[in-house]
Amino acid sequence: MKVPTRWLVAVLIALFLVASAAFGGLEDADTPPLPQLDVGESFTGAQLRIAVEDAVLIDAFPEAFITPQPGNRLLVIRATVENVWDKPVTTISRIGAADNVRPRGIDGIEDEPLTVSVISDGSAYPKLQPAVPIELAFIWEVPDGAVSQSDVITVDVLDKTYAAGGLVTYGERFENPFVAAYVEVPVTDVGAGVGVDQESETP
Amino acid sequence: MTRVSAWQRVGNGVGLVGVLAIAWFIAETTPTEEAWQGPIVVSGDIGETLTGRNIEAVVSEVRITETVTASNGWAGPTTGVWVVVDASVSAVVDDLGASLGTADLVIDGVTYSASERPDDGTIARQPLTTAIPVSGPLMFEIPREIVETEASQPATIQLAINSDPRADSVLAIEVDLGALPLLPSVDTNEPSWGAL
Amino acid sequence: MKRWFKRNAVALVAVAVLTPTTIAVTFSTEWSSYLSTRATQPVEVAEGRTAEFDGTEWRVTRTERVSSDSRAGVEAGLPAGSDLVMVTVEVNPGNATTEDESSFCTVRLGEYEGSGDTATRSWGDATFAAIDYRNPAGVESGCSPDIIEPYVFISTFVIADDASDNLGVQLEIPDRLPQYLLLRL
Repeated sequence: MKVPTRWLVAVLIALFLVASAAFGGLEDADTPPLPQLDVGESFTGAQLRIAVEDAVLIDAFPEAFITPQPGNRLLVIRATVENVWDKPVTTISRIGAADNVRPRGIDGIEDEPLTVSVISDGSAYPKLQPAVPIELAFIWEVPDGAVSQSDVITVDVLDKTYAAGGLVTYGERFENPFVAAYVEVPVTDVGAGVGVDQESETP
Repeated sequence: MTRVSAWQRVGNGVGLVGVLAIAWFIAETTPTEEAWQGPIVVSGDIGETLTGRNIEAVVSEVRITETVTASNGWAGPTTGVWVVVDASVSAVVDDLGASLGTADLVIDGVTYSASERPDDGTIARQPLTTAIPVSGPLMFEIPREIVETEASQPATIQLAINSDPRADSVLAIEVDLGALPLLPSVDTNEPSWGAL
Repeated sequence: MKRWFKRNAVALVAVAVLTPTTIAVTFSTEWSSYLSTRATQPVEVAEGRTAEFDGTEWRVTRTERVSSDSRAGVEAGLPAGSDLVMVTVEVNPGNATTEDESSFCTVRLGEYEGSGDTATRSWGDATFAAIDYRNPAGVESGCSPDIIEPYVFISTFVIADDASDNLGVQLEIPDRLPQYLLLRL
């Protein structure tokens, strides 16, 4: 049966428009607003569950050999992180949990933290075990004065997407971090500090 | 064109079906990438010396405890519990760049890795020597719920030289975590080098 | 059947010759570039003889083996079940033309079977091992590219005490791969 080509094209376009109407039309969809978390409230992403506990300004952690340049101080975001995947998750930048917490809009903080440490024993860049929540310190270097006592800063919590096997890659991974939630946290300035990152008596 | 008889048509059809069946069979049974790149597993129990291509190990003891204190003074606070595995590991033929790169505990399809928080108090990631074993503890942090019941909880300890265990030996030691008591605390031995 | 073979004889012979040839050529191009970066072609040197390799002369002048049970072994803090092997090598850099460097090398100790040249087991250098032995003052522990006069180095290896006496030093110079020097001890 012969169908003239121009009719075919017109019919296909009409069908496409009808189908798109079923999905809300051709306009850009509204992105849903970013959820805001309370301090201490957790967000569960595809790989990690993260609850931001507090933000502290401190001079340095000499016992852990973390000392900023002169004129800078350390901004420590304390968070309870739990691995909700079925394999250990690293905390190093670009691959692991260091990518999942970012203070927003602070002078001098653009990217990865200086280090990520375990609060209870100070070990750097731990591997997060599945279903074992752990308190971590995400530490950035900031110029003195960029943040002060009682400032309320916005901390973004990021999630990543799962990917597996590829043309030149092997295995599973989480990649492409995107902001999934945020927390407004007041900052406490502890000056030279006294017990934030030392061996604590309480587990 | 010569005429094709009906029988020949049937024959062609059968031949085509046969070729398709063989093609389907080959596609279904071709090893997946995971299969042909997978590790070569050597299995055994606690106390048994397992030998792979370039790794040999014997697990002497497995304990579960609330708190662990390593020989270098490190004490491990955790919200879960610690599984402490005492093992002796060596390379077999070649120790160039050899280290205990993989030390995992697999429980019900979930993988836990040996903690590096104890630093030199654990043998995780320590360099290995050909035929001269390194002995010491591995500490795994696992959620408390796993050992809360009395039920049997089979688990596998996996040891390998590379952190990417593809296409090389993995030693797998079976252990029942449910049969082990939950100790209040354990002090671990200092990692040592030399035959036992 | 026979007629079919006869009629297609030329084509069949071509397939029979070209198929293995194609496979061989494809594999060899891949494998030869891989093998050329690894130490696969030993230049063997019998015990005590001098070898010339990379413009330098090499000779093993002394081999010592100390057991972890002996007094010297205990003093050296050797791990149980091991022996310390110390190999003294005389190096004559020869024509180090400019003021730059003599050969840089890495050494390993291999255990061999019979006259085979593939080590059944091998051990790395013990310069940074957790033992208390140190070379006498002024004696190098391996190749030193900034020395262009003849010199001596002592390489140490901590090996399993059940290793046989059929040992050899595998001396690799990166620029000379896949060739390497095998100094029989």
